[in-house]
Amino acid sequence: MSVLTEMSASFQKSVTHYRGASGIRKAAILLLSVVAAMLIGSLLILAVGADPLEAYYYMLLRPLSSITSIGEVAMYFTPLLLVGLGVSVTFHAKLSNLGGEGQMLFGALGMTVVGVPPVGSFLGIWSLPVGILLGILMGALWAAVAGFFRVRFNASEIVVTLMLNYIAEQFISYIVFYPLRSGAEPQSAKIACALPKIYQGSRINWGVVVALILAAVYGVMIRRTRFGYHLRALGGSERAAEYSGVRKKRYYFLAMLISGAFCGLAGAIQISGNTMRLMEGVAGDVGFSGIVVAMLGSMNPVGVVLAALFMALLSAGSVTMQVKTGIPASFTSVLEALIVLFILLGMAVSAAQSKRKKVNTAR
Amino acid sequence: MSNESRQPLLELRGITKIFGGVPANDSIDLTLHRGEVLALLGENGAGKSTLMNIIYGIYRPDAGHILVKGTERKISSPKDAMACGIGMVHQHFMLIGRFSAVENICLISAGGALSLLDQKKVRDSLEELKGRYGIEVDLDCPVEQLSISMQQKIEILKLLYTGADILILDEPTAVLLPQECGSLFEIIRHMTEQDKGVIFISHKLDEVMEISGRIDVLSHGRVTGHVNTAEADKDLIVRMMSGDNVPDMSGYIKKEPRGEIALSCGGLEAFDDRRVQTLNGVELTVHRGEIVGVAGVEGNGQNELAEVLAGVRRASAGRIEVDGREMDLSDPAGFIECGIGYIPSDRNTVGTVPDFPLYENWLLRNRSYPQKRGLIDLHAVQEQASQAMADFDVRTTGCLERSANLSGGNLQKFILARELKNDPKVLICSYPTRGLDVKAAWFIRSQLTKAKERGTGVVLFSGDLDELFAISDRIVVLYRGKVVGQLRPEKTTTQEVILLMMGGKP
Repeated sequence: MSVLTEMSASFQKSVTHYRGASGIRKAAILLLSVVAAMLIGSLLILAVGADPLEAYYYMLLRPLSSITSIGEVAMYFTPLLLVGLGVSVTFHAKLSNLGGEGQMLFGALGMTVVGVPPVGSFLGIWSLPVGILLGILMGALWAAVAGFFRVRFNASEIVVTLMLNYIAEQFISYIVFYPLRSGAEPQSAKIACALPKIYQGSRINWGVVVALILAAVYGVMIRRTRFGYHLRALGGSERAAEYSGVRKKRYYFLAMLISGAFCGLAGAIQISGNTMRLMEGVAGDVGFSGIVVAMLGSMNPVGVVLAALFMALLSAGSVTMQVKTGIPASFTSVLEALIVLFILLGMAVSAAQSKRKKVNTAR
Repeated sequence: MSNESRQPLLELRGITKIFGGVPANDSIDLTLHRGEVLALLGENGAGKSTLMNIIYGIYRPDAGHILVKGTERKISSPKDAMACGIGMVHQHFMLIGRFSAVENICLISAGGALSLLDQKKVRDSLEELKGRYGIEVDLDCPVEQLSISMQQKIEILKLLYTGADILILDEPTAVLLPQECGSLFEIIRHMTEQDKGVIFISHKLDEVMEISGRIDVLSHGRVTGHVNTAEADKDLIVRMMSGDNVPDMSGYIKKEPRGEIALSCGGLEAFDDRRVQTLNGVELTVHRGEIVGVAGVEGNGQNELAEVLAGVRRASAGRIEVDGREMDLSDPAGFIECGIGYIPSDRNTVGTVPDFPLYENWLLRNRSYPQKRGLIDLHAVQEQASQAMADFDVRTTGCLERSANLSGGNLQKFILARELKNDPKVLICSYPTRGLDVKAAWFIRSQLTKAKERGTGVVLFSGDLDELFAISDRIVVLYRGKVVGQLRPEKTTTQEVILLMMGGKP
């Protein structure tokens, strides 16, 4: 995951120049990145002796073929979207929250402690809203640790959030092995109340709708409120934001807090809408894939939704692909990494071009 | 000079450097002998830095010759300059903070990338130099933990280590506390005793009178005076600096009667970004409907004062009242809501966010943007920004244009339009016309005058005395973080203001 740290750092560096590019240009870069990654991916598929078209069919189209499999896509889509939105919030302020994984785990823990007996049986139906709120709170607090270190000691939030992931993972291991263990397996008991389904016969639940509404809320917050405006100003030029009356420490801290809240919610929904119990690895690397979602979606609300959908298709389809073509499901990670590399390459080239253009017009 | 037969250390003949058609240096002659301190005086923009950068090989002169110890030399890089024995202490030190003095100096002495560093040898010769020139400094402590004055001494030690005998000190005292100057002068005296030549750039008359042997005065790119310090007095030097150009008073506007007090502050103290205290108790009153010009040599606290008055920098002590109400110094937004407009000196990354389109920058430091149900009404914001841009003659493709693509003049007009939109009670302007062409500069000035007539109290920081004389109702002079004089422009002269700026008493 240290690669991601590097990537995120260089993403922050190039995004400044890149911001100046027009929307069409940005979209073109992102689309080209995906296409280029898939082309390189085809070579790899060919190398293992499979058919690329068939593989991509199983990855991207097959998951949409039935209501059941769409439900599976939604299982990936909801947390990916939420983490993608959370990471985007920090990207706007030129911060990076790479701790989505840990924050999700704490969100999941928040949902679990009020969902399992005895609290769960006492709260009944109320354990769902309470658990979700507690999950949001715990995710936010876990991110706030990094926020605090950043504003108080100027410690890189990239490193701190990343390291907090390991602590969170070990902590959750402890929790499921000892205090909350139920039965032979290292996992908690089943929670009392699940997220209601939208359609019986599929796993799709109302978590998707909540996530989509939050994407809209995120868009309004970033574009149409003074808070969002100042967050972006802070990312564009710290001193300009201060000129506009922003207390930057407060904003940096808040950005981390909100980002953690999104990730905590993702964790709570992962429990109440998907696994129903806490176990190791319940966040399933979504905390990291969410970073790719934010980049690929270019922090734009619609873009992030589309990117999350794309990534969810890859994840949902990869299992079928493995069964049908023999390509390991982990191929999706390769594809993810290639996409990020091409995005960074595209942004760097675009930045260099606009610089050259500027020099030429200056003459 | 005791020994006239010796070649001068450094001789410049007819050095000319032209930037964009304007001569920054116009056939400058200058001579530096062994064992003397030559002071170079001049206002900001007189051409001192350009000249020093030519000597140090950063710029190439368009005409003229440089003779080092009697032979003509081509200096095309700082490396060449060092080979000629020319060393420079810049205002911003070139030291690596985590390295000790010895390690910093090893950096410049090292041969190839793989040559072994002999720290012991470097240390021995540094110890020897320390003794010879009376430089007291810790060689082993990481440089970042040392005071500015100590870091400066390490810079000097670095030059001496390279064997430089022509030392250029660019405003060395600007970063020092008054009590620290003595030890620097002591070192300079030791250096001249050892036959080195020192070019000492300064704005402070007292220091120049104390340390230098001769004074050259630069004004508008020309040498306008030579004098032996022993024969000079402050009046003479000030007259040489201001030249014969009396500011044009024809555009002078009859002063309106002053309104009530808009802003007053007292005992203001603040630190700059290097944590050096640059405001030492500023008292200032601004009335509605007047322009208060703030004069001062750069680095005497103007930036910090502007930022403190605008609420952007937090004062470490003192109070600010707006309309008689004391401000909470820790709340920058409160200053904006109170109606304090601010035009920062850096228009590109402070006055605007470079990557934002103009209509988004219209929202910066703006608390009265169009809203719809509590949200920013982007459409109305664009209309408002476009209208204001048309009113202020901001020439661009429209309000969707990125701010970074605007020229300085257009960007400044945009910022001015934004800050003046709601007729602020007080407008703080930090070098609003710097770097602008004449036409844009006059547009800005006339808008400031109009704002004043509408009742805004304007605080105008400027390095351009002509500008201050032309539009201010009152000029206050800032020196070492204090107001040292308040003058009426119609009752004073540039000479008097310059004298105050340099720490002299009228």
